[in-house]
Amino acid sequence: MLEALLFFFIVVAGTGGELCVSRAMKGIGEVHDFRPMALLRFIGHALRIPWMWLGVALMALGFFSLLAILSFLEVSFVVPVSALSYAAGAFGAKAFLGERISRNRWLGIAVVCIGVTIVWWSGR
Amino acid sequence: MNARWRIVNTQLTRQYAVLSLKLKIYLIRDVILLRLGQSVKDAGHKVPVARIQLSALAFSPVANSRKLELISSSSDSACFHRSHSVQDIGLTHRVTHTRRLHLKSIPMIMLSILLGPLGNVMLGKGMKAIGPVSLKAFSDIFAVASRVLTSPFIWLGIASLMAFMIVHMLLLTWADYSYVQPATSLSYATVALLSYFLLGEVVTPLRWLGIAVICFGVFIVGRTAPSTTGVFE
Repeated sequence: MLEALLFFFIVVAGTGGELCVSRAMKGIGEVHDFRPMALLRFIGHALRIPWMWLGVALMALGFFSLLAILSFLEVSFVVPVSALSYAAGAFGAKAFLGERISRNRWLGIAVVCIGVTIVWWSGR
Repeated sequence: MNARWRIVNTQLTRQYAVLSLKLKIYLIRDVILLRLGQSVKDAGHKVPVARIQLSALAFSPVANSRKLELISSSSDSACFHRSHSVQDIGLTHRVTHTRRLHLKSIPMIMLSILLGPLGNVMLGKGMKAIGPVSLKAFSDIFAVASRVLTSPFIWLGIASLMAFMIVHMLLLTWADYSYVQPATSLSYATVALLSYFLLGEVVTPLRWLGIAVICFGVFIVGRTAPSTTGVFE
């Protein structure tokens, strides 16, 4: 039960965090200037967007969940199962960013899910 | 990232003296978008072409498809409604750099499929040494956090994951996402190998099968052309 919850955080919070950061970055727009001061201003601007904070918080939650789960499960089990984030990413991008997902991409995601199921069956 | 390209097309030059295009490359999550801000000069006057959009990834030298599509959003310049292959268009630095790019892409891909899994394996090693995290009381968080933050393996893992991110981002500045991602699907195999050799984990044949299926799935995901969400304003 605890594992399922931690995997949920790794997959959903990790992907959700990336989506939020991506949304915040799109709001700022393209980086043209790579001088140190301009980059600092860019970071300052990024930190004023609530989506950025939400994204970083979610990514941190995902990372700490990964650490927690690695304390009692094998790496060769945890990392393949966390490939479910491909599915979460596709659903999130569709719902949250309005991206269109092609049929082949859904097919690939279905294959990833089958692989995760097999790894899950292989036991911990 | 900005790049200037000069496009002089034989078909277009019949109507337009010079077509000078400024190309911008956008990297938004897994979609690389190319957008053009254009100035089209007619023999006498400027032609109001509203916007020219390139199909995603068209220019990247490692791209499979070398189709460059020019689409105009204004109906009175219908002459833009056609596809040109890059060969038709005199693009500076086009295919000549492909070999050089492959020469630097392959070591970088190998580095990225080593560094990412190595980071995870190091985190695993550090956390196994700490032992199962039990958060019975709120104060346990601080005890666990102090042990996590003082573990050299955790810091090694974090450093390795950060190096992986840097290599990955560098790679994406010149190579296609659809070229990089299928290749990095191999990292699921590397993670199993490293956890076998470095952590002594037993990887059963069934787990290997599952990992192979995941690699194949990620490969399929990467082979699909990243579709764009349309014109970005």
